[in-house]
Amino acid sequence: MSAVIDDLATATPINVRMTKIIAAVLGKIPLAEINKVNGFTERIQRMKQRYLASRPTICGQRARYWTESYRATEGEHPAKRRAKAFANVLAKRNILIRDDEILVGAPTPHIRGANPSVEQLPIHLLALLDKVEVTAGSEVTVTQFSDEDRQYLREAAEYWKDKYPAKRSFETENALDGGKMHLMGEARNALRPPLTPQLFTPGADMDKVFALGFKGHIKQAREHIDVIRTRSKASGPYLSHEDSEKIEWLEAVIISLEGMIHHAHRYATLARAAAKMEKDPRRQKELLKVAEVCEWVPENPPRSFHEALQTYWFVAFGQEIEKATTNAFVGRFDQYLWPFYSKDINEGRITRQEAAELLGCMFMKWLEFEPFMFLGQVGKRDHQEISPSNYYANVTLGGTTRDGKDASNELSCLFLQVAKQVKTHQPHVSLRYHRLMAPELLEKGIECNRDHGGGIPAWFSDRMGTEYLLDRGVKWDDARDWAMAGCINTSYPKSFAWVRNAVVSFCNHSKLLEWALFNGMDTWTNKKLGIETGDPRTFTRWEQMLEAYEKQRDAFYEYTMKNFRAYEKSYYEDAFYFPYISAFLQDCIADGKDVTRFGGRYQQLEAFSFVDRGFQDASDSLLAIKKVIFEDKKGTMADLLDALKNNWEGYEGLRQACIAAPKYGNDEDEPDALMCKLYKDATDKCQSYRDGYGRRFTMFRQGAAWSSWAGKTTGALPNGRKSGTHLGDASASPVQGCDVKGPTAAMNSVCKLDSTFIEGPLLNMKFSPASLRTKGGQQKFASLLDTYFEKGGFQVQFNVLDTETLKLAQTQPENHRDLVVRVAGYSAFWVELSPVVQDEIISRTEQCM
Amino acid sequence: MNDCELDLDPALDGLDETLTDDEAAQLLTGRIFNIQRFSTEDGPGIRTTVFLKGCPLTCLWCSNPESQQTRRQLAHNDALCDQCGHCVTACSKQAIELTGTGVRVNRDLCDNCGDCVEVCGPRALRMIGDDKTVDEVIEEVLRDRLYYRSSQGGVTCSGGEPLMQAPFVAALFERCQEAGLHTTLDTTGHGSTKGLKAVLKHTNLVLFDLKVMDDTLHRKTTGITNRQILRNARVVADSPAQMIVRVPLIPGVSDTDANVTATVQFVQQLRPGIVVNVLPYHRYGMNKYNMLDRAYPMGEAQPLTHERVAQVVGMFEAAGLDCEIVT
Repeated sequence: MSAVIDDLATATPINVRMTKIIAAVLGKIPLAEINKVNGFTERIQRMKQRYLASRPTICGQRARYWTESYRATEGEHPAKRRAKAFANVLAKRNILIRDDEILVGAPTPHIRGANPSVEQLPIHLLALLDKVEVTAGSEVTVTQFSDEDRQYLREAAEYWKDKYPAKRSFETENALDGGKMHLMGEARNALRPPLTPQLFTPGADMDKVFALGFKGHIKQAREHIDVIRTRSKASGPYLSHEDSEKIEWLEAVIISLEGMIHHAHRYATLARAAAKMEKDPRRQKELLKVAEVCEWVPENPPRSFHEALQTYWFVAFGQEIEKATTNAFVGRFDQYLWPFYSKDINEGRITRQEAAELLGCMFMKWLEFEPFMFLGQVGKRDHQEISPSNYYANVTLGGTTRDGKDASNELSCLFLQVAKQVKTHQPHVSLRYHRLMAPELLEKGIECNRDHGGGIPAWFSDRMGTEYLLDRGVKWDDARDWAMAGCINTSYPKSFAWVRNAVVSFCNHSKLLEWALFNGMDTWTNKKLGIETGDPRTFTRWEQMLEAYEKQRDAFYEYTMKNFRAYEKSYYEDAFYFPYISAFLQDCIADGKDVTRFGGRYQQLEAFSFVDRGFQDASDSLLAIKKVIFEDKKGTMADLLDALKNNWEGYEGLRQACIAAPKYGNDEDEPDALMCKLYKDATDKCQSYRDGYGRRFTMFRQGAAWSSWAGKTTGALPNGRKSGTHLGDASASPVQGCDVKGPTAAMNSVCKLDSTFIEGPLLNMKFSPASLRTKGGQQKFASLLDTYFEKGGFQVQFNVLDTETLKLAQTQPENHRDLVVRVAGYSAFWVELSPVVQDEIISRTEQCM
Repeated sequence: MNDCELDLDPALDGLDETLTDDEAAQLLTGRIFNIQRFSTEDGPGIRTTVFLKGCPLTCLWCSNPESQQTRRQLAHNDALCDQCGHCVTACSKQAIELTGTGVRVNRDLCDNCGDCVEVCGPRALRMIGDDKTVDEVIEEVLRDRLYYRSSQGGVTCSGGEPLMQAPFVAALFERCQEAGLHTTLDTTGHGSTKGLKAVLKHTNLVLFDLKVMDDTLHRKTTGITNRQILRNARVVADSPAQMIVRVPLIPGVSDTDANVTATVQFVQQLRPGIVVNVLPYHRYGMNKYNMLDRAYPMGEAQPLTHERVAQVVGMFEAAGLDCEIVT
């Protein structure tokens, strides 16, 4: 014992390092140490440069090997066919290790490669391939890809075009409504979803993954199979359907997990080979380290922070290869990695600087998630407006522990330090705020808002997130483990995968008002898409107008519910299995069931969603009608309808009167009360329905640039808005430019809405960086946040940018390629936003601090 | 404070006389040109600042020129103007013409009737100045009380010169304090002492401007003598209210060594522990002059360098005064 102490005292270099270690312990955050760290090292700078210099592309390899496997497994169990296809892709696709990489692996061999989900959306893909040939890839940035990839995709799509899982649901729905839903989709009120689970945001029980490694999961699956076989042998020679289904599925899990272990070994072999060729001894050492890591994880439990990160990444890009849609549900990154981080720091195996560089590498990996979903899902023009290369990887930080204590730790702070330094548009960072949150993390969050400039992190009420899950029947401790999925979905990261995918209705309430104004006629399609609620020119009271809107709303919900019930059963029955994703979800292996077959904890979270938005313009419009037409009589209803038909041309006086009517977002009672009514009535209506499994529907009101997308097809509105312009942003933010009384007034208005049952009520605000420069300014910002959340606010995000910067960026995109901007729940590179969205961001009222 | 009455400036004649009880009661509407919520630079914490219209001073560097006149005024923001010309048609005085990028208002013809504002689609034209009762202002102020509580903020009256409407401000502050809110008076210091005292009864903090110590220069740059201001500074210093002296650093006017030295001497003899804020000259108000069809009085004057501001701060600190830069 004494000898060891002597060694420590005399072995100078190590000893110096050892004695200088500032321990990483819970409850103490050495902010000065964190502030010294630079996560944007030369290595990361080179990697980011490479990313910025590369273009989005589509990769055909997954489609090719996926389909190749399917051709060879005809007749086998569908779960097993999925697993084998997954393993085949992993065994055969090209892999590479790029210069500077310490964390390896990627969804495609391209820096910005997207994997189209050919088996889910072959028809859409074929249409796209045809279109791209006509337009030579110039229309959509993402469609620049090689002839070889195009060929793979075409062959694969031809195979899938009559086998895709949504086929039966589509046919049922078409037979039922004769294409009306399609027209509504054209009008962008009601979106026609893929009608099959795509598992957008698969979570994972990372604690379990880290504790057991993949081999532990395989062992559990084997044991479960043995239990079933032993039990069924006792009862007779044949397996029941249920047992045989379970065994097939568990075997599929094993195939999937082994496929990824093998894939990791391919990276290890590649790294060893590269090390042999490498002349730079430093890089050689790194490559050997990569080999060592990939030989050990994900098969075995990670032994270090580095191995834990690499394990997470194998899980995450494996999920992407299995599902091939956007979204990564990263979950509580600072929580599940904390044990590895603190152990490495405390044992002197890693410095904070080294940990920061590893996190920097992690950020570069998240950048390699390139989206393809909206090409398939929306399936028509303008998808690039919605999702300019944002995949929606969402990291949640802070909050409370499972036993209700402050969960802030120094890794949370280090993550934000790196985030503000590397300045990437993804992942999103969601910070759970509560009053006991470590002041260091609060400070770091505000600083990151200021220095990142792209609305990172977004702030969430810790209490509201927990209450949301409690309301859905989640246990207390699990509820405290909530995290943000997608752009803004409150969920439980250890078992949620977004099986629901499709939405019951995708509702634009401004559109419903438009239908009410024109007695059911849609101004975009010139078809009668609504019901007849009377000619408003005959209305003598304002209440009749309100009632007409309410009738349109109820009819629309009824209509979409009817359609939903028609395809609901085939939606589940024909769904693909996802054995790899399910393997990491709590209770799936124990249940022996895929998450798409109701395996896993908290199936109630997977209930379908009502996605309804556009309340702000509808509410402001209704109030303008009340004030201008029925009270002040500055015009007749006939005048107003003429004005709307003519997009206000020649009716500037009337328009001005309508604009001057009170608006939601200024802490004024009347407009806020009407907005609350519209908001709550829609909630109550949706919550009154149940799905075929007895579940309450989820309410989903996020933003994601929906406002300009849906705004394009919405005609002029009585709030003075002109035809085709963007609608009120997100679902809770005041209409752009209408909140003229500053952030406290806007926040007060938002807090009047009852958001308890709602996923994704967003408030976007813009601040000038000057406001956050001083400590005093930061403290006021903190008070603002605190009061907002105490008053019942759920989410707020601050874009710290000045208008001049943005205008300049519009005219000189080449000089602003790294400018990150946040649009309603997600962020993107500024230069990739369409001018429409750019204008919208600029027109948001700048709040001066 | 006998000298107060003895040396009363002729310009102030009549100010005290307006304050009969009856008139005070009638004055309980304030003429306000802005109520700014989430103010962060007008006292501690998050505040609501009530900007009162009307000011006896006409400082060359004023960044709120719309606050100077007591009467309601037309202003035009050319950045929003779409050249539709509806205002030109609506104006019965033929006072408005289009300029290609905005409008020009002939102020000799304009009677501030507001007809043009009614027809302005993009809201480029607006009337400045609203009359509000104490109740109306309190209603607005209380809406942010939770933000005041978490930030130790409150309510500030600024201007213009709030002391021109002292009875209103006193009544407003009294109500604020009843509601437990912190009150701040942001003043040029020029006003009747009686009015000031009435306000001080309900004031927690006074932000007191000391612009120029030399009276000749003060008259030249602000239009009035500083004698009443200096007198009132002593009144505030002798009151229980907290006091912060604010010195706008105007190039060539108040940033001179002579003026800073004189200011230091004056502040030192007021009361111990007074904090000094220096407010470096800025040109944010420049466009407002255009909105009122006035030439910018400061011309091409440039903001001070950081070095010069730091030197001035150093002079205050060398004299043992706490000094902060407020921007």
